[in-house]
Amino acid sequence: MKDKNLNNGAGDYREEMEELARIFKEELDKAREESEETVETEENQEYEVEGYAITMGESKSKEELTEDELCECCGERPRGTEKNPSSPFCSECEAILEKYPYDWKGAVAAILTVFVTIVAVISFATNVPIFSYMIEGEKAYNEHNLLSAFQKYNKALSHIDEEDDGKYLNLYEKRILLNYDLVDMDSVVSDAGKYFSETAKKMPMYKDVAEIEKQLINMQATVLVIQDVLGAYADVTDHNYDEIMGKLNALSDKKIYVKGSEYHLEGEEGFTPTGKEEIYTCDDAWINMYKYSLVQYAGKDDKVIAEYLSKAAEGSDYLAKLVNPLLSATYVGIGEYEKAEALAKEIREDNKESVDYHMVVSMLSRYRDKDYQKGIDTCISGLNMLASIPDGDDYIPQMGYILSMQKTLNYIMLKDYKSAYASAKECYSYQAETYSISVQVRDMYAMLALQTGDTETFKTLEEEIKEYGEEASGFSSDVKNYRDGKVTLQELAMSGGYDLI
Amino acid sequence: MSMVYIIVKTLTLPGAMLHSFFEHMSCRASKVLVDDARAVQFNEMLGHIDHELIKRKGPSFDVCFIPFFFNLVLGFLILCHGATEIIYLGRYDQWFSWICLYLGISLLTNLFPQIEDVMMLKENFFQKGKNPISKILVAPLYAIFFVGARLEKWGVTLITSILFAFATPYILGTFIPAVYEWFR
Repeated sequence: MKDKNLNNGAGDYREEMEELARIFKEELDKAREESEETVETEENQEYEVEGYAITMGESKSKEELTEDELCECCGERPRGTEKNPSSPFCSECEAILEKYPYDWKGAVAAILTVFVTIVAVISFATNVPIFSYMIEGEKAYNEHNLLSAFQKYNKALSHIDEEDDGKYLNLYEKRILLNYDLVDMDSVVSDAGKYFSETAKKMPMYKDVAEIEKQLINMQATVLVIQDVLGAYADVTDHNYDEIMGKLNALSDKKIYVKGSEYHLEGEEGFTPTGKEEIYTCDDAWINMYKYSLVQYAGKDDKVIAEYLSKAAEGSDYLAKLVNPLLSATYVGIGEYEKAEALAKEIREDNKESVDYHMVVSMLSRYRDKDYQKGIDTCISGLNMLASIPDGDDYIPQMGYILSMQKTLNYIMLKDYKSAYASAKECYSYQAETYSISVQVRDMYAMLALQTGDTETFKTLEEEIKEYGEEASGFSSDVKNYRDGKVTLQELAMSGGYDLI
Repeated sequence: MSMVYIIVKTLTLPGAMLHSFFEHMSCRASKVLVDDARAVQFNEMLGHIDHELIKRKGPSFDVCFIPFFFNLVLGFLILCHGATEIIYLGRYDQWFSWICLYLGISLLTNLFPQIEDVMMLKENFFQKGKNPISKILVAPLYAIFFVGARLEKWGVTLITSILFAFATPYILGTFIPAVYEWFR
């Protein structure tokens, strides 16, 4: 039933369409005939409008032309030109429209824009050094190459003119974030205060700067309060250890009122808050950091020391960056190698250019694996890494001495005293460059000088001590014991006293 | 015509004026008849000029490409300075840099031809029997113009050019440090 209806419908539609086609054909033929007649008539006529010669067809008077035959623009002359007979314009109008005058506003805008472009390109070129170093610094920072980033940002800053100092806010922001990661609290607080106004700190893009500054001011206030507490004690003894620990415990969660450079602890005698002070809370992480110092000073067990260090690191990201190298080295010392290794990896993730990572890995090779050659290789790769930092020549003496000492200790374990002596000499010269020679470095250098028969150097070192007015202390007991044959270099290398942590 | 289009064109008036100027320039160079070339008119023709239908390949390409090219080059060069100083370096005290940032965004917002001109380009290049090599060469530009003209109609190019301004320092950062190192 349904199909039948459909078929009927299609038949009707076809008939209707055929009828329409027939009518259309008749009309079309009729129109064509009429059109041919008109053309024949026009071809036999000649006309001229206002002296304008019409080249197509034959002339008509202006009155005889319909609106569709007149120029669209002037409305007076007939349409079409020599080149384009079907043009809606006459020749004169077309010539005018081809050269339509520019709008002066557009022309002025174009001239000004070209001028601005020239000035902009020149201005950009003057900024290229700052921009390039900042881009490279940011790239290095994102790749966790913090020392390279530091060098690049410093280079960028060195290209800023004196009168523009403090105007490149994003550069200072990046340096603040970097210094936070490099655990340079003073630079962070000083840069944030110097370059960022209170209004700037409220801007969303500088929210990090404001937060970091607040966090570090809190830490600084906590440190000042703790130092006040500890200032009352000249030394830590068995008698006052519990008392100091109790006082440090009591600081937890206490409020600190800061106004300018003044700070007061909650409940301090003679102090009443005025409401104008900024209020901070004692930072537990820093309290734990001082507890660590206390237990270390009191000569407590290394496990207790590691416990407090660990608590300090857990309480603050900033302190974790500061404490992790020390904590991982302490873990190596107490035989918790897995924890040490995990922390070393964390250190490397934070900063691929960290010397501390190489130090811990080298210690692990020596203490756990007894693979002294691997320890040496690790140190050499660390020193090469420092040397490869662009413009980072200062890093080698500043940080390289740690690795030179590790290398020395590994060579001692291999009984390669000649190489050990060369390493100790390198370590000593690095420290001498920074005018800060530690007792361990000097002692080790002296002992290896004796071991290799370089008595001249030993005497020079002895004289140096006298020059510094240290003859009372002289070399440490390790040197004396070594000279007396009471201790070997290998025993000293594995004692932990020369790891420079 | 969308109100957004006129608002965006008004907000980026210098770029719109420049586009219409360059469009006019290309019309004159290609002997295309121009009916109306006002640089400032607050209607759908803002940023464009009124010209006759173009039935030749060269002129229809010029009318689409020349304003696009000039606005793009000038806009990018100006934006290099504005975006680097304001967005990347954070130097907010320089009024000239703010002008550059605005002008750059304004020029890049007004890159594309009118959709009618793009259709004309298609008509002249992609009809049956046209040269296949020119079809291949023009096809990518046609695609860019077509999408750009559509986006511009809805004012989306303002957003894309602002996003581009934020990306500019990082685009420059891919080669400027190497170029600087090479010259140093």
